[in-house]
Order: sequence, then C-alpha cells, then structure tokens
Amino acid sequence: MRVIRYDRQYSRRKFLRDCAAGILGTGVLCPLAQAIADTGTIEKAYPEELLSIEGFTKGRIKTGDVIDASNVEHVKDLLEPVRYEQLLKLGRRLKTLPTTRDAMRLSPWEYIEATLRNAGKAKFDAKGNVVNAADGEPWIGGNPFPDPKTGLELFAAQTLNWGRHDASTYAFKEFEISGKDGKVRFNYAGVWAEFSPVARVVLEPKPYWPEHKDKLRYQTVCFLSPTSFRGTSFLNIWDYDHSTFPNLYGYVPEFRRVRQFPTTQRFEPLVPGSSLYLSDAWAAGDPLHTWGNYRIVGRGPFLAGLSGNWNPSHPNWECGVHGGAAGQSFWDTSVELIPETIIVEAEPLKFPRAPISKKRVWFDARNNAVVGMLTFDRRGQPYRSFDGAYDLYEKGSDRHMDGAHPYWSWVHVTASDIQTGDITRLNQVRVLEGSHRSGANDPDIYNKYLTQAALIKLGASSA
Amino acid sequence: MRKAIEKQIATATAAAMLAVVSGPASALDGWNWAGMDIKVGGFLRQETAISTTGDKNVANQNGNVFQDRTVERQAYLPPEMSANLVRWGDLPIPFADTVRRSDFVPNDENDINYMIMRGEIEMGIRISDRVSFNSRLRAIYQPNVYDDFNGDSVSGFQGGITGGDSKLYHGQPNYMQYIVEGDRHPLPLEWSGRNYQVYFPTFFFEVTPGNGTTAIRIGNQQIAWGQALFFRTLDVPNGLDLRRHLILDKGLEEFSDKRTPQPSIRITSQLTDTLLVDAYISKFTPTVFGNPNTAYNVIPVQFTVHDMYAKNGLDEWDKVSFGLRFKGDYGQFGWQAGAVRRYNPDGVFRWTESGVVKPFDQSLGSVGSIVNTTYALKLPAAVGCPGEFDPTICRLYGSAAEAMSHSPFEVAPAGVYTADEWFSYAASTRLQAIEGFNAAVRDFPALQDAFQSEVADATELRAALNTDFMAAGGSLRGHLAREYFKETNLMLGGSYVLESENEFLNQLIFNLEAQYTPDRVFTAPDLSKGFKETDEYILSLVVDKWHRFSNDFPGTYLVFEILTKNKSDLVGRLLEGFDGSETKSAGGLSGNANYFVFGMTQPFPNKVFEVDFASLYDLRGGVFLQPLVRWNVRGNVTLEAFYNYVDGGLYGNPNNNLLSTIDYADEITIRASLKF
Repeated sequence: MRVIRYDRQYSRRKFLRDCAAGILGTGVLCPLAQAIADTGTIEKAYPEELLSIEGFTKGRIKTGDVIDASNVEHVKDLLEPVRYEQLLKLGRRLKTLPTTRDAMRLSPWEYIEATLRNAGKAKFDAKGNVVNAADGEPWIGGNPFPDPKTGLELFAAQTLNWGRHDASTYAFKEFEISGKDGKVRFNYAGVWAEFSPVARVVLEPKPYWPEHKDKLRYQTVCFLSPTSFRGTSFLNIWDYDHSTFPNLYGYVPEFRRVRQFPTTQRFEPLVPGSSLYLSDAWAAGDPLHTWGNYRIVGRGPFLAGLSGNWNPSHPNWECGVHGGAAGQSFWDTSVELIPETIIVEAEPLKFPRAPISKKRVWFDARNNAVVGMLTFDRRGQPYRSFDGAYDLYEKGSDRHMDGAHPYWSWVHVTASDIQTGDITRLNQVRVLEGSHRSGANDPDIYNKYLTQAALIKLGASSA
Repeated sequence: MRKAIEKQIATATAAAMLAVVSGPASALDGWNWAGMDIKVGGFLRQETAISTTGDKNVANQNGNVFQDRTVERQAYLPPEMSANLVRWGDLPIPFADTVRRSDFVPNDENDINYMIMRGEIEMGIRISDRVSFNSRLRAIYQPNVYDDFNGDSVSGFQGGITGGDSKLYHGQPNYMQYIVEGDRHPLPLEWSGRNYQVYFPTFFFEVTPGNGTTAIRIGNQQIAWGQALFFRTLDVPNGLDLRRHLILDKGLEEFSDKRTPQPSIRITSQLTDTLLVDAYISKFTPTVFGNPNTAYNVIPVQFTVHDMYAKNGLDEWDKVSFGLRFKGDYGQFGWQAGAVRRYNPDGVFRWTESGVVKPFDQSLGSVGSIVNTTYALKLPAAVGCPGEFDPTICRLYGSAAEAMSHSPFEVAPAGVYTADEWFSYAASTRLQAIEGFNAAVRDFPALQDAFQSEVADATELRAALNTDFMAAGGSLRGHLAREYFKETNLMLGGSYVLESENEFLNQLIFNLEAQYTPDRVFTAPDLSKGFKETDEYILSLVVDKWHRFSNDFPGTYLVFEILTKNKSDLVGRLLEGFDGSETKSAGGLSGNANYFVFGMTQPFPNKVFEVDFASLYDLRGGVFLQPLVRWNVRGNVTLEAFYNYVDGGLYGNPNNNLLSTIDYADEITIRASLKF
C-alpha cells in the first residue's frame, strides 16, 4: 500500500486556510513559481493527489476515461455548476488526459522565457498601469506577475496580453445553438486579430514599437459570413493607460464606410443570435481599471482543457461535436486535472448599465491562464458560463509551428447562457477563404486587419 | 438579337442563383481552384410594398390630380395674330369647352406599388496574397404588378404619343431599363429589360502592393464618404440608382444598394496610424431616376425627357470624376478634408425641341385648324421677310407642324390639358409657371413663329395655355433635355466624442460636415437653356450614440441629424422654384432648406429581433416616419416589415417642402430574405 503523505484533505485545507487569510501563494508543497523556475515542471509544488485524476478521485476515474452523466458526481467539485449540469442532463462528455506538468507546454515558448527573464521587474505605477519598475516605461514582455499575490495582478497580466503572442490571428467559426431544440440557429465565420505594440518578445522592434508605445493593443474582429454580415468589423485601439476606454471603429456593410462607435459599447451582441460581447474577450475584454473590486474568492483544483484538443485530423482543424437535443451543443473536449486554480471576482465599475453585475474567473495557477468564467446578471443570478480549451499545436507527427516552436493557443470556447439554455460555440480553424489564417507573430496583420484602411478592405465585397 | 441575349443573361443568372442556393453547403464554404481561393455567397429576397391608402403617385398618369376634375377652357386671340394690338386674354374667340383628363387617359388602380424578387451572388477570389477579385451580381425581377398607364391606350387621340423613346413613352411602363439617347448600353456592367435588371454593383480587382498600407481597387465599385447617414454632404463620389424603391427602403440601411456603381480606380492608403488618404477616379455615371409611370417616378409624365448623357459624349471613358480625401482620427477628435471634381450625376433639365412634326388639331372649324391655316398663310421668312423677323406675317418653317417640332411642345395626348394643370404641376415640380412659359418662348423662336409670345401675368398665361391646348386638340407634352455639368466640391468635416459624467451625454459622437460648391449648375426654375449657376453650401451635423436604457436589452442606437442648404432642397431643386401653387407661379423661398433626421435601432437580446425607427422632418411642413421590425428567424432567414408614413402637408404650402413630392407613398413593405 502506498502511503500518501499529503492527502486530498491536506490540499483542501491549505487552499481554504490561505484563501481565508487572504494569502495567495501558489503551490502546495512549495511555491509554484519557484518550482517552475527551478525545474520547468510543477511536480515539486503539488502532492500526487493533485497531479492526476486517478489520485484526486481515488481511482474512480482514470486518465483516459470519459466523464459523463454516469460518473460526473466524482468530479463535481472540479466543475463549475453549469458544466456539471450539462454533463448530468444534456449529454455533455469530457475525455480525461494526464495533467500537464511541463510548464513550457502551457504558454508560448517565448512568453514563458520572457516571464522567467523578467520576473520581479513589474510594478503598478501611480496611475495603476503595469510598468517596468526600473524606468516606469510600459511592460517589457511575458507575465509581469508570475507569482501573483492579488486578483488584480492576475487580471493585469491577462489584460496585458490576451493571446500571449506579440500578434495573433484567429480564423474562427461560430455556432449559435438554440436552447429550445439544440439546433444550430445561426453560424458565422470570421477572423479575430490582436497586435501588441508593447511588451513584445518576438516581433522587432522589441520590447516596444516606438511610434505606438502609448498603445496597449490593436484588435479587430471581422465577420466573413453569412453574406449579410460579410465585412462587418470592429477595430479597438487600446490606450496603454489601463483606465482609458479603447477607441472603437466599425465597418457596417449597411453604411458602406468606417464609422466611429462609442467606446463604452462593449456589452452589445455583435451579430444576431450571439450573446458574446467584446467585454467577454479572454475574460478580460475591457481595460483593467474599468472593472474593479478584484478579489480572490477561492482556490482549488479544477478540470479544464489544456492539452489534447487540437484536431489536425481535420484539414481545417474543426472539432467534433456532441450532446444536447440535436447532438450539436458541445465540442468534443479533453480535460485534465488542474492542480490549482485561483478564483477571482470583479465588478464592472465603469459600466453603469452593464447587463452583468460581476464575473467570476478561474485562473490556472500553473500559467495564470483563464480556464473558466461565470458571469452574473444584475440581480446576481448566474448568467453565462464560459469554458474552453487550449493546446500546444502538436499531435504525433502533426505540428503547426510558431517560429521555432509549436503554436500555443486556444482551440475552442463554449459560452452557455444559463437562463435561456442557448449555447455559443467558437472554434479556431486553420484558414478561411484561403487568406485568413490562424497563427502568431505575423507583423503584416497590422496593415491587414488593424487600421481603418484595413476595415475598408475587409468590407470590399460588401461594397 | 440583343433582346434575346439579355434574356439569356437573365435566365442564366437566375439559374446560377438557384444552383448556388440548392448546391452543397461545402461549395458555399469556398474552394480552391488552380491555386486560387474562391468564396461564393448570396441571398434571395422577396420585396413587396403595399399601399395603405390607395393614394397614387401624382407624377404618373393615373395619379394626376386633374384626372377626374372637369376644367373649363376658353380660347383667346393670340397677340401675334393681331399684330400685338391685344394681349393674351383680352379678346376671347368663340371657342370654349370643358375637359377631364380621364376622358382621354384611362384610370387604373394599384394597391401593390412594388414587388420584386432580388437575388445577389457575391464572389471573392483570392488570386494571391496581394491580388484579389471581388464581385457582387445583383439580379432583380419585377413582374407587372404595377400597371399605371399604357401609351398605346391614347393612340386614338391627337395621333398618339410619338415623341421620346418608344420604350419609355409609347407602351407599358418600363420598370428597369436606363435609357438614354444615342447609347443602347449606357451602364457598362448592367443588362436590363422592362421587367429585369442584372448588374454588378461590385466587380473589381484589389491589389495590395508593398507593405500592405495601400490598397488599389480597379473596377466597378461604389464609394461612400462622410459620416452623415442619409444626408450626402460628403458622400459625393457616386450618383444614386432610384429605379427600384426610390429612397423608401429601410432608412438606416441608407444608400447601400442605391449608389450607382461606376468603373473606378480607388486608392486607399493608411499614411500613418491616424491618417488615411483616399483617392478615386471614375468613369462618369449619372443618377438613374425611375422611369415614367413606374411606381416611384418623380418626373411628371407630361414631360418627355431626352437624356443627353450619350449625345453630349459623357458616356465616353475619358469623361471622369475624381477626388481626394484625407481622414484623420485621434481618438476623441477626428477630421476630414476632401475635394472632388465631378460631373454632377443628378443632372439638370431644360426645355428642348420635341422633334415631333405634328400639326395642331385639324378638325374642321377647330382652334387648331385656324392656327394651322393662319400659319400657312404667313410669308416664308426666307422669301418674303427681309430684315427683322415679324411672326405676325412671317413664318420660319413650312408648316405649323414643322414649327412645333422645333419647339419644346409636342401635340400629343397625356400631356397638360389645362392651364390649371400647368400651374399645379409647375408648382409641384418646383418650377415657375409663368417664367417657364416665357423661357420657352424666348429660347425657341419656333414658338414665337407659332403665335406664342411672352406673358405678363397669370391671367395672360392661362389664356395662352388654354388656347394652345385647345388648338392642340387636347393636350401638349413638354420636352426636356437632361444634361450634366462639371463642378468642384470642397469638403471639410470634424468629429468629436463627448466625454461626460452624465451617462446620456457620455460618448455622444458629433460629426460636423460641410460642402461648398462654387458655381453649381442647377435646373433653372423656368427651364431656360441658360440653367442657373450659383454657389451652394451644405452643412450637416450628426450626433449619434449607443445608449443602454435597461439592463436587459442591448444598447439603443440613436442618431440625430440636422442639414441645411442655402440654395436648393435635399434633392437639388432650387428654392427659387418653391412656393408655387395651382393659382400662382412660384415666387421662391428666402432662407435655407432645413431638415432634421432622427433614427434609432433597438436590438432585442441576442439581436434576434430588432426594432428600427427613422424619420425625416422638413421644417417647411413635411414629415416622413418609418417604424421597422426585423426578425432574424434563423441563420439564413430574415423577415423585415416597415411602414412608411409620409405627410407633405403638415402646414403651409405643401409645395414648400420636400416630402409632398412623395406624399402618396404611405405603404407597408415586407422583405423576406434567404441567405446562402
């Protein structure tokens, strides 16, 4: 018989104790950041029972098993309530994979290198902006707070660089599933581009694009289909000041031109049938200080997709679906036991009529990436739940490279409207229309997607 | 032969659309062929507009306000027949009658104003990373649901209508064709017939050279400039295609399918992060108006129009418009500046020779027979009238019929029958009744030759006109030439995003735009050959924002606009031609033409339903209201219904506001779309 030195209750007690005391020190056996810096893995930081699903469930669920209605009770504590209900009642299934222990597989390679290289160099300045402590200039790359102590630090890192690349393009397909019959009611295809002029770790000039050092991000979302929405696009230009709303420009096919939109228009559905807002992006779609009351409300293990989800067997990386009344509601998803997540809540302080009152976000302590989000309506009732899957894009002999290393990114996202049962599914695909390709660190995306001239070009055929 | 080819094109287009609609879904996702990525999409849409009042378009034969009115006419001795011893109206001659238009022009009823099936196929081909091709094929079919008037129906009166293009004036309404004299195919990428229209609103190659900051588009395209919606202060590169539903489609859709595409080269370059430059050069393409007796025709059908686009050589490829615009955006502030040298696509109108050789009424003992005979008795000018021409004793032509062919009037049915009708329609068309007659007499010696002379007042004009109409044996039709002139538009705009602690005021976006056009050529209110040249400015202010009124509904889009013009109304009619009526010639308006627009869009949660509202208020007494409901039924099915309420008679003289021109257009429009 194997003696477990630190049993499940030990970890649980430590998470509860630290959380109650307002202490955030990731890792159970030793500081997680230290373990990663020393060994590149997380094994020293957590006991065995947090490093495998077998260990956590005492063998009731084994790695490789599928979680469904028959066994979901064993992992109820590892799920937010919405996924639990979907597994129990709507036929959702999750395949289990081993917990990723190699930290280099949990973010883009260069981002992790910069995180390690720049550890301890970040601070908040008097305005609350993340700066390089040495000179007060904008941040220089990687996660500024790899050993976070507060919810604000977690959100600051998330807001600074969503996709963890200097530039990212995501060709995506979006499906809106009706809660009434489980059928796809609307589907869209489009492209999302985000580009960092600061904190650059790959693109020259580094760490800043000097002419644009006052900006945090350029970001565009453009819809390519259906025809009636083709060319609909929105360009957000983020100021580096974390309290300033982004400038918002949009190309609406009906108007045939680029128009300026109010910067506060961040809680509006972009296209019919969708309940996704700009504010939802990466669980941190708004400037850091337009939200507030960041507070850590919990810690503990969690089930989420961090590996094994990229589908190179489909020529366009499209994932399979299952579940729901019509078998179309959920992505085929692989999940792993995350030893520790940090649960942070925040409120939309500068949006007086936002339809949501707060959000609760789960961060993976290993890489500080968002692995789940639950938003609440103005009455405080659960409103929408977001879960997704990341991956390092290599599987067997198939690889999609980002420079010298495999591409790391999100694979798919599921947003569930708890109140209506409607579900939005997003899938990052390889390419749309031959020219809109998912990938990272292509400097040309600035002119292709992120200027007003680019919006006019994207609206070309709707002209 | 040509007709057969056009029919084949229309049939092939319809077949292609059906093939795409019914084809495999994978085809719609695009495919790769010979290294090129091809994407195809589109939609089918049924559009129907039903009149809720039964009111008829007063510009058409059936809607003529005199159609069922009986009017008395009295003939007088023309001054030119009396060696100018009398004035018009001084000496009645023993000819009088009553006339009612519907005795000549049959009535018809139409409850459905508009019904079309529209199909659009969009194709994008990525030839390389730097070169792509984009096209949109639009095909429209309109069955004969709107039967207003058939030119053949009046062929038994006055020898029928023989002037003008037969496709426009001699038979049934031609719903779709753009017809100009001298060019059978004036729009290069359009094939149209009486009931169909197939064309490419988009058909261009896009090249992105160098670092991608510049895009060059070459081909048929539309260009939209400016921030104002509906008001076209800076939106000057394209004319409008008003053949289908005039400007009565969804208001907030703006002119998305109305801008007339034109072959162009457009270069857009992002010079810096904040500065965009946009330049174009286009083959000149005119605004296209609805044809005579079609549902939304705006030119009274007593006129025959000769479009001189081709005859004046403006359809040649070297007749171009071009412009340059800079646009700077600095977050809270922005500006635009531009200049355009263009042919004004709307064109201007003047009297022109009818070219119709037809005598006055030849019935024995009629007024017309007297005129014909008296004219014949005059001495030929070349033979017996040396020195100054005296129309009392000399004639310029062999007969009165020949003289009239050199005048702007055609002896023909379905024209103007009475002086009352002349006054009424001059006023509704924003023309001067008296000066219009005098200009015709001045500009066309043939009219003086045919015993016409300038009049001093309304009484004289009434006498002259009723005498002329009786001489014609019914009515006279007026002939107009449509011409186009170059102008320079100088434009400036500024934008400001208000930041305020007040929630409603916060994020209000202000756009102020101005256009100044020196020496703009207008249609003279008297239709004289000299037109009217004057400087014009247009100022518009647009304030818009998205505001959340509730937590449960997405934000409401609100837009408020003001526009003022110092010389003409919203559609370019000189204010000098306003304030006329059935009893007086237009005296003109002082001050500006001013308009207010308010519009809003309220999406429901998830945007499955949307409610729109658009309105236009003319300060001189007209209002247009348009509520709309849109239902995104499923991903590929959309239903829309909107109601157009137009009242051009809120107060004051209806002929002083824009909207009385379309006062008849109270209607419900339903649109059902299937996308693919």
